Amino acid sequence: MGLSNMGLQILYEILNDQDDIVAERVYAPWIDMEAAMREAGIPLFTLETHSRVADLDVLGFSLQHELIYTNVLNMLDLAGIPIFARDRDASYPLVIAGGPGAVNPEPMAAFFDLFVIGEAEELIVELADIIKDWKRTGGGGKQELLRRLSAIPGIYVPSFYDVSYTDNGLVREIKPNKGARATVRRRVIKDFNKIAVPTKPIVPFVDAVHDRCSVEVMRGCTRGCRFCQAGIIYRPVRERTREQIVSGISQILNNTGYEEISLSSLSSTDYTLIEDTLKTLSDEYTEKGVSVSLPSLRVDAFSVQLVKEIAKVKKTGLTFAPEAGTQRLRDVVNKNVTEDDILSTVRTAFEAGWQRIKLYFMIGLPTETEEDLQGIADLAKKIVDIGWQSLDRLARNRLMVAVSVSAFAPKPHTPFQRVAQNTLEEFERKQKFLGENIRGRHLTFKWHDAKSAVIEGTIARGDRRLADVIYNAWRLGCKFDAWTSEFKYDMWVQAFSDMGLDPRFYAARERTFSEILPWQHIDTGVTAEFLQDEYERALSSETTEDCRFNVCSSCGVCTNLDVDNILFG
Amino acid sequence: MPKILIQYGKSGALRYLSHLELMRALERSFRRANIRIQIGQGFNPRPRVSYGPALPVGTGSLAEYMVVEVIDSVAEDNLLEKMVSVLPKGLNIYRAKYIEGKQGLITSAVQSAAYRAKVKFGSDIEDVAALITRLREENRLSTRHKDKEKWVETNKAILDWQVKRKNGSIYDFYMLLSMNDQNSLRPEAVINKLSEMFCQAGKIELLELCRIEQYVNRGNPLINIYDFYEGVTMGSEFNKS
Repeated sequence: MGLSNMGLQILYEILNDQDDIVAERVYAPWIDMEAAMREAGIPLFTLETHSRVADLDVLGFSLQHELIYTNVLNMLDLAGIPIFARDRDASYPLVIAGGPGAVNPEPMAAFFDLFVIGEAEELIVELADIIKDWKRTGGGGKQELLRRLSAIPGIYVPSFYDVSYTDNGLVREIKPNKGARATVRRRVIKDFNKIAVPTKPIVPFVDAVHDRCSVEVMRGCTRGCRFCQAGIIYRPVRERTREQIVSGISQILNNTGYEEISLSSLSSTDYTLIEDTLKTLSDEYTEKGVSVSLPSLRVDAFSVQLVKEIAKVKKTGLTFAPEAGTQRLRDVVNKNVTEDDILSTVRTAFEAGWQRIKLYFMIGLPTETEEDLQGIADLAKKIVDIGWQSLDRLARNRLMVAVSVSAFAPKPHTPFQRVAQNTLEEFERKQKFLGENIRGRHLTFKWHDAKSAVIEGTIARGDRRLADVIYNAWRLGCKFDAWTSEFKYDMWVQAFSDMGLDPRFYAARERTFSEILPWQHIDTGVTAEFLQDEYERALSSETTEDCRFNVCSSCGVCTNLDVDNILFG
Repeated sequence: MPKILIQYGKSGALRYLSHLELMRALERSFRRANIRIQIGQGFNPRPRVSYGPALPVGTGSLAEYMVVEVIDSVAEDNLLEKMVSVLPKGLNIYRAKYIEGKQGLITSAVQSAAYRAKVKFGSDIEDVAALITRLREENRLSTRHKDKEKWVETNKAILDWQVKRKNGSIYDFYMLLSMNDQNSLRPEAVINKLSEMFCQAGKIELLELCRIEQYVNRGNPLINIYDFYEGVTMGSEFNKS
């Protein structure tokens, strides 16, 4: 599962390319393995050399989403490392974190010594250099190390900031102590092409998720979907050259023997040289039995044409994400896709031979009404009709439109960061409505558990007081929260109430523009004005164009971080 | 397309690979070695490789066989050299030869297999010898595998056996077991049964299990898979590679 994480692969290779650094992997063992390890008194160890995790100099976590936070605590415990940062002196590893979760580090601030905000390709080497120097010169205590590390742009040391709260529980002030910077600015790689494509990925023996040759064709996405955190925290768009991609793939295939190539990014069909690149790859590799895939498809005919080219034989299913059921709501979230786009896209897909279409939607988006929910059902039915018309008699039997609906959790640093999330009751009522309306032949309806979306939404916009809740939840037995079979909603509810905190305060409360957000001191480069403006435009269903292809939307990233969109097409 | 018969083995931690994982690891190794395998036709094109009978997870082997359809004839020595440099530790290739491929699939050719079980028990060799004799004389033996019960005729299932003391209470227990018929028996089943019968002197503990050869017949003289398949000389083809 964890092996497919691109960020870890990149850092793994960068660190191991250094002469005097060894980076090894460690993953959360599944429940049966953990039980066996605890029973036998075996502490958490690394996969490469079976070293005790507690003996490492640095232990880094990638925070991909909020529902893995209890796993972090569990792993620290299994490693025999004190869970709270305040209980660890310099004899323990420095425990650090990065990844999208780090843009609101506050709920986990008590557990980590520091966070890496933004892209770590350059930063991680600077961090290692300081630690090496600190070790060589005999240290000077953990505080001294943290002080030196905090000077690196993009590093956030939570203990260097004091947070105070008002009587109402709102953040009153986030105040740097020990001379720390007022805000921590996100690190960005200015020229993505200067970062080599990682070409020596670990090839697992077991059947792993996304076990294939994966090359990041670009970083960042400026489509500007207003719910999307990745669209903010990976700005600007930086493409790799086609030569770099093609030669990277060739090296990876030589090193690994992989049978599948994936061009990854937030929206790979937006890569300006995608057509040429796919053609080059397909000419070179198809006859060698190596297939090419695109992980995410935009809802447009162009994307379908592309996939048609690369999926010459196997046409299993296509997935699109209209996100919302009506044009009004798609405009609210700035998903710049019209109903015509959607219908003509699926028509192209059916005509090209696909019979199964999967559609992703979200419920609980701001301003959503029953009409928007009905819109999901109506759209799905229209697509079934198109399938029925487009497919021949035989293929019709296999026609299937699968509607998958997730519950929206507003994320920090997005235009929707201040909106109230739907409550569990609202989500469940909407799911019920959809369940009753998305029925019929050739239709399936699936929904994601709203309970986990509510907990995710709560932690996502939480403050430092959540540390005790997360700790308590873990003590109560919560781990692997992202796995439906393991998720224990009642335990989470209890964990909150034991600490005298109300999840709704964090998730289901509309925040005013003047309220200080717990993550206010984390600066992604996007201005508060832009986010507010985008929110106001959302309320009036006004769309904002992609700055790659149209005018600058003045989000602030390019000026604040001294970067630019880099395109080659 | 030229077909090449390869004898390979798995050991160490890679004993724990499942058959599917093993296939994937081998096929990826061929790609790394830049030995191109013919790709099949059809809905889900697969490399044209046929394997022998699957080895149970946890069992090592010195004698697994596969037939690979290669696109370019590469000299056997060259193939071995290339593969050995890219194989993961624990997988090994011992020998290879081009074959006509008219003798059918390995899975149907195999009639018996020899195993070496490293076992530990607290009694004398004579006791075990007597036990095995008794087991074979019992004629019928019930075994269970994946919830399926099956009766085998023991003297036809256990074709031959030998026990050698290694040191102390560690023994090498060699057995030749029938395969591909109603009397086929898994080596673990033999050990388990003996262990049951042996209870007065404690259990027979299986420490390590290894398949050491696979044969196309069940006795006198045994012909192994590698010798069974007739080799062909690829002649001047090699000059190209």
